Amino acid sequence: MQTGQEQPPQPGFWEHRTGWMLLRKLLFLEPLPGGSRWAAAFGSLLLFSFVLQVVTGILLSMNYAPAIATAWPSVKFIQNEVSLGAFIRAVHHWGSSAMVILLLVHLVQVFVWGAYKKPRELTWMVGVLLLCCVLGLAFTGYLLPWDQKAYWATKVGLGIASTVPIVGDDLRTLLQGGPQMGNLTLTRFFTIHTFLLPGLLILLVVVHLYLFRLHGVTPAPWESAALHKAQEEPFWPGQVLKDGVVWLVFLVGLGLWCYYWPAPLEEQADPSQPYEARPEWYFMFYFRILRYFDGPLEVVGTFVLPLVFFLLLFLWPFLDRNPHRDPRRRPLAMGLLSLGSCGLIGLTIFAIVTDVRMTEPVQAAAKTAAQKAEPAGPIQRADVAKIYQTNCAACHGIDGSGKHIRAGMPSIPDFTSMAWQMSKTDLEITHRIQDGDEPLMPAFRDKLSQPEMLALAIYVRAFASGPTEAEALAPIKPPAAPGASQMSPTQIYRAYCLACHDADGRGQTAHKAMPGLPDFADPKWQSAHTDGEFKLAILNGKGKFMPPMKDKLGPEDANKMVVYMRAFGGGKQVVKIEHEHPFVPPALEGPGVESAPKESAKTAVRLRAATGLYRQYCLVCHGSDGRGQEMRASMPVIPDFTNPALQKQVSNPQLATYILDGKGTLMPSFRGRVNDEQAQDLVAYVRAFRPASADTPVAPTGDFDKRFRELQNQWNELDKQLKKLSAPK
Amino acid sequence: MEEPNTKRRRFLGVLTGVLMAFIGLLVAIPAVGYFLAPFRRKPGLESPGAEFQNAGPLQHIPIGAWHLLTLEVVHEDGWKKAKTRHGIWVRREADEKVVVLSSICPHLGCPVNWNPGRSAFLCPCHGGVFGADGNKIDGPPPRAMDHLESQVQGGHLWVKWQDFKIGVAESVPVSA
Repeated sequence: MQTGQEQPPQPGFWEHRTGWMLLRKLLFLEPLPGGSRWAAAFGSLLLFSFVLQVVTGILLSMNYAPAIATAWPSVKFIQNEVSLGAFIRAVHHWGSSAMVILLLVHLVQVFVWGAYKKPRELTWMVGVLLLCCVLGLAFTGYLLPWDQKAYWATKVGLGIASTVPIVGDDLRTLLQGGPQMGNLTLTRFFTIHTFLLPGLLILLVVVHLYLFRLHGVTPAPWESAALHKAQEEPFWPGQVLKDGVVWLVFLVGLGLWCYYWPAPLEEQADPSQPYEARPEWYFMFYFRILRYFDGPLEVVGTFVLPLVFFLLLFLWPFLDRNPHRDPRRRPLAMGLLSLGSCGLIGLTIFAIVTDVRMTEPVQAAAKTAAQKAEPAGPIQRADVAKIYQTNCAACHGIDGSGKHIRAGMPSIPDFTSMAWQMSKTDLEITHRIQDGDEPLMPAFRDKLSQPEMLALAIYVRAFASGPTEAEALAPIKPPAAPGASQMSPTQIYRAYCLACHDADGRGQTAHKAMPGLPDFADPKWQSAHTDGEFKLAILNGKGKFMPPMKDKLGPEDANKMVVYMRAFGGGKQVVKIEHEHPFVPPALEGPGVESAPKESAKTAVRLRAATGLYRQYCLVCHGSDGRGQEMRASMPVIPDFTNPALQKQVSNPQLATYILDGKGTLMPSFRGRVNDEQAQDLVAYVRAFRPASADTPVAPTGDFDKRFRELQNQWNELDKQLKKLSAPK
Repeated sequence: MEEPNTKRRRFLGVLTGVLMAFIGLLVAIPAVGYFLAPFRRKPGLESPGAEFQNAGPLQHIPIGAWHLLTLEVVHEDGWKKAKTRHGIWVRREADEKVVVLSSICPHLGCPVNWNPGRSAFLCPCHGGVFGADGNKIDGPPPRAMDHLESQVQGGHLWVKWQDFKIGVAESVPVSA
């Protein structure tokens, strides 16, 4: 036994092959003069926080795409859809703030300890370079979400860079990747943030640690070298245990913070919108300082001061000639430190407290203006007509069609168009009035009160639901059906695609009947097909069930629809369907509705609703004339609604069941998309396709409404009977 | 004194050092050239905003008040042509007479905003104040707000977007 201790033990299998004892001795068993101590845990905590940034950063980059079109959506995706995405992003976001704080604490600690003095000057200088790396990481990481805050803060940051004498403009161009901020700025910042600076930082950390190990822990000024030596203790496990405890406290604290305070994400960057740019809190003092340097002195604030500060910091070990390390014997250094830190902390607090955002007075002004405009009593219909005529009629026309100005303003909507009305929710219309759509549609939030804008939205709706007073003043012919090219992709989608492909593009409702129906939300499927393939499928049809659309859509529309369809990828787009108020102006095809007699207003409203539902869900297969000719080739069993014999075979409740629960393999179930009452109305609508007599193939439109009401009465009778039969006695 | 062997080794050392430096340069020169790519522009590339862009019809803009419009400029942005939206402040003096200012503050590039209460443009960042004519009144900006070229054609306002160098006393266009 005795001899065994003196001779080195025989190397084991792993030791023989890896020599890991030496590594272990180098890394873990190195003696620490003075023993383990809590104060030494700060540096290692800083390293730990960096490791945490690396881990979360790698995770974030898995879902991040650095380009203008994708940066913000991908960050929003991380924030809202990736599981734990919001948390990981919060740890990365707040972790960077924590790292800056820890770095400053570490710096102050080393400064007070006098640990930068001979022979540790280089350790300090490498530390200052590490500080620059971390600030660089903070600056470049700030841009990556590409929200308003990121855009403007970086714009100012690059502005500061461009004020550097002589090379300023080139520096900016180099960082920006071109003459202005754009895709190349994002890719450059991303590379600098994820490869260059972390790589440099790791290199510097290795040098920093090597120098630290070389010179050892700085003993306290009051400890004698002999005592220090006597208290020697290996790094493992004493110091590592203390480090671990500190890491755990930090980790739990940061985790809790991130759980309660998610990382902010503002609106996507829009250089045309006013924004109050603010840097991250630790730059607020500097932001404040910049206010004080006017005109030609600007460069002092943007360049000279920071340069002098960092040079002072960097060269401090050589500037401080005082040989003592005891803080009590270094009045100058301690004075400078307390002055500097009080100044920085004070200025930061001052900057944050006195930071008056300009939105406040502007909002206040808008509010007072709105209050002035508010009328005393409830708004009368005549008032609304007047408001419309003063504010809207100039462009949209007294009839709401906007046709007189369309030549010069092709995007002006036609309020009388069913397609337009169906594609817009009430909220969208109100918002459009409120916020406008620059540059053509001005915002009315300062001119009109909230109730006035609401009333206008309703007034706009009225253009489609029947003659308004305005129309009575200037009677016009019903407008022609909008051609597809006048419709927005949403309108086209609702009119032609929604019935099978569903509101979310997944096509689940009809999938049973049409197994080849694709799932637009499936990214795999999206990436497996090219835009050209999609366009071809839209125009020429595909497989058994996809009908060719080239008679309805032009090539440009098809292009639009390809883009629209791409947007379903990842389940990010859902077409809005208004279940409660399918809002429909007079139908222009199918059973003639425009000639419905005016006296049956209630029936007319229901009929219009049914028209809308039919167009939305049934028309694609059953056709506008109810014959289903277009689909017969691929669906031989599709019924011809104009066939009286067929109509006779099916009872109203049966038809309603078919609509609600589906029939066979091809007719999907619409329960959930239409309610019982709407199904009832659809039955009546389908019945109306039946010719009045077997000889005339198409019903004379005049008595449509009459028959509709008759059918409804019949239905109600049947319904009553059914209820009676099924009611328990 | 030196052994021939030591001499030989020193020579080989110098030679190896030179070789390594040469290899380093071989790697570094193309790398730096690639990194400096933003300085070299493809010939015949249109500079952004070289042309007048339609900012919309003039008739909606009230006479005598500042109005924020959006100007869409198509420019080459890396691998694609991108539409960038810029904010422009427009005031219609008379029927066809229009003053157009860039919304970018000449100080450090924040977007300035019109404050009707104070009848002045305020920079929300560092407190620059410009009068209703765009001239600097207060704060750190080195010059007045930048004027953009504009013309009226067929009732529409056409504006030529231009970035200006910030932080200098004169209005210097940034050549794209």
